[in-house]
Amino acid sequence: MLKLRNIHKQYSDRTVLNGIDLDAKKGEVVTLIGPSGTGKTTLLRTINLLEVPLEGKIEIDDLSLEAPNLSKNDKLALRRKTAMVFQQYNLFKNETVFQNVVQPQLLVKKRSKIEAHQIAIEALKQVGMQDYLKSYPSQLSGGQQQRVSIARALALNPEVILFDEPTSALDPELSQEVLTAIRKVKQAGITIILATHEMRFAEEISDQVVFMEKGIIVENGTPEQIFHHPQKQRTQAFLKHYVQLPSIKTVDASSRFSSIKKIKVV
Amino acid sequence: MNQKIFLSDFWNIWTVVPQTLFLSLLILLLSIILGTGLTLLRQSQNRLTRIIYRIYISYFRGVPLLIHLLVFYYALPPIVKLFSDHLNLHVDTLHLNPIYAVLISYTLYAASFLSEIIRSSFKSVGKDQLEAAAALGYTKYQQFFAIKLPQALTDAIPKILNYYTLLIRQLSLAFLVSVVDIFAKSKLESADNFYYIESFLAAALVYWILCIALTLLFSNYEKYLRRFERSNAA
Amino acid sequence: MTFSVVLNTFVQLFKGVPVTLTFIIFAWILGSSLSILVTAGRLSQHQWLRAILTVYVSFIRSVPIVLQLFLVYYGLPLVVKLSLGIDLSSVSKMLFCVITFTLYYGAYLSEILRPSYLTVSAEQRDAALSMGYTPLQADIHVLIPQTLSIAIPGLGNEIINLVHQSSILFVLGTVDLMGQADTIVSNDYTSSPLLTYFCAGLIYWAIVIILNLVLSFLEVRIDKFRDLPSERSLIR
Ligand SMILES: Nc1ncnc2c1ncn2[C@@H]1O[C@H](COP(=O)(O)OP(=O)(O)O)[C@@H](O)[C@H]1O
Ligand SMILES: [Mg+2]
Repeated sequence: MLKLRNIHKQYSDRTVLNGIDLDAKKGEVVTLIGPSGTGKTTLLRTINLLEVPLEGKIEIDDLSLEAPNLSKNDKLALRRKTAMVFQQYNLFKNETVFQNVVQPQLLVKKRSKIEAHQIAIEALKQVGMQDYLKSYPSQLSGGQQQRVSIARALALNPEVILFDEPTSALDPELSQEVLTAIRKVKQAGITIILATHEMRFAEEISDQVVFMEKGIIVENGTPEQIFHHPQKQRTQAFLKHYVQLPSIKTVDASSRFSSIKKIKVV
Repeated sequence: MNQKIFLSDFWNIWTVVPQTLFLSLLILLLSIILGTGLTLLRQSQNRLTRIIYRIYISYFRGVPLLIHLLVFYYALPPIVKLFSDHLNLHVDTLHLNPIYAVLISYTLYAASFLSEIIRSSFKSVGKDQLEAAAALGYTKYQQFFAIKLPQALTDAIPKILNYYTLLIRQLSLAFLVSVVDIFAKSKLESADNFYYIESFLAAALVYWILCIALTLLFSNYEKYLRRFERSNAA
Repeated sequence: MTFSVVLNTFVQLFKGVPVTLTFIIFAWILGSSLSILVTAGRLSQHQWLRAILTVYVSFIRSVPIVLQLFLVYYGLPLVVKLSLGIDLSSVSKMLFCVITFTLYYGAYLSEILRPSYLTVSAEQRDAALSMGYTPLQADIHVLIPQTLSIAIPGLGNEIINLVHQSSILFVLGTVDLMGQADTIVSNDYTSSPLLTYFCAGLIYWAIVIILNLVLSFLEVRIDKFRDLPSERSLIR
């Protein structure tokens, strides 16, 4: 369903992605792991064409694009099939929570207002943020902002949602609520490409784990294969760092969200 | 457009550049001193002092510089006369050099802005920095001179230098009281021969060159000052 | 000096206030319109346009406005006559004033708008584009509203600057507030220049205070989503 072939990307003369091939089936969760500066963010941005690759092929469903000669319409078509959740949330600061989720539907999906409102409420309910419709992003905690940005992505019904380290700007406490929201996205059957350093979560949620280093894919496979029987030495060395990570408690989503409502900022 | 006259005007105008730069610098220094004093007024515990500060700031920022200049130009001779009569100083108040009016009005005006620059620069030094110093056992005195002052200056100096280039431009109003700066010189040049455009263009060019040169100089200095901050180079 | 003298001075001076206010409104509308074009040009892809605008802004920012006023006043008629053959000698002085201030604020305001636009982080644009906004939609719905909210304190300062700088127009013999003061001083030798200029100053002060009140009221209204602290900058 998502297919990348031979993606190359350079910044000035520095190669950041050096021939990436990746396949994701519909509804699959593909997790990118690897050291910082390895090109995970760049790869995600490439799938969205926020960065145009030097060469390579990107296919989603029946849409097939060959870099680097891409028109504006190619970019729009691809972006309308994908959505991205950023490390720094990137909610529109000038809009309330509700507007953040509604406006993209009006502009991009051309939905009617009534429909967009319904879908927005639905999406915000999914991430437990339906009580903050009138808040501005600056009035929310990081975890809350990230959940809204997930709702914003969900509301567009994309084929694929790209998550770029969605919890790495958050305290462990707040990460949980975001991870719970990502589980909801998976349940909705949306294909996920996720870059993360939360190995426990990666193991739990992924169908496919991809270990990247220095712009290439070193090894990929099921979570079982990568986390418990890594073949390549580089993968083993990398994963060693994460062995002592504290286990994440799977918290019941509803109880967690209700406890957070109390600290609502007015 | 007469090129010969333009060129001769251009070179003639440069002769007043040093005194323009110097006068602006003098005003800048005086207003830094006064501005610091004002900052202290603002932080005073006394309510009346703070009110005086606020009225001062509001008045000097609320009224155009041009009017401050003219007001002091006309107010200064009677004031000086009053003092000189009382103290038997025999100052010739009829021929008081107008440069005093410029100095005083510009200093009072500029100080109202510089006090804000100085205050915000001191405020910009984070509490964490002082706490770190305190935790290391610095005395209050050491905290101020080793940490707070240097960091505040790093923040303030570029803004003060920027204000200096502004003062040079603002000094162009001094022609109203017949003090000769760059602009006044260009008016004098054209008053003789009526080649207005030539002399005004020449003056504009002088200002432009000066401003670019000073800005370059100052921004390099600022880079040097900020060398210990995180560089934003992408 | 009696009360009636003071009152008389104020009455005379107030005749100039409508002229000053009208001028300010015209200069502000034209200047900010020009500055939007200048900002768009400086952010555009056209290298030539960017270079020309950079030179223009650099010139305007380096030269005192009184000198620019004289340049336009003496230079523009010459240029127009030589290039178009139109005689501007009977045109109102106010036109030259408006042109000078429009050019001046077109440059200065773009120096506020452009950095504000650039501060609206690249991330906000990314977020919009990633969902399939067109670049134009991203500008209209996300970037420009945020640019304005960042720029508004700076723009407010510039209005006050404009009020102050309009006082220089009298050198061309205009009949604005400062022009009235100048007329009183030069026509009526019984008048006190000190009193006249001081009273004119008080009126400028009042205008600025009222403007400041209006501006801070506006700022509070649009402040709700801005998380950057606003700092009122310097008056030129
Ligand atoms: N806009 C850019 N310009 C130049 N180099 C960049 C840019 N963005 C990322 N890089 C470089 O590309 C490499 C990959 O970065 P990134 O994709 O962010 O890695 P990761 O997300 O895996 O940490 C890094 O070395 C980074 O310095
Ligand atoms: Mg990254």
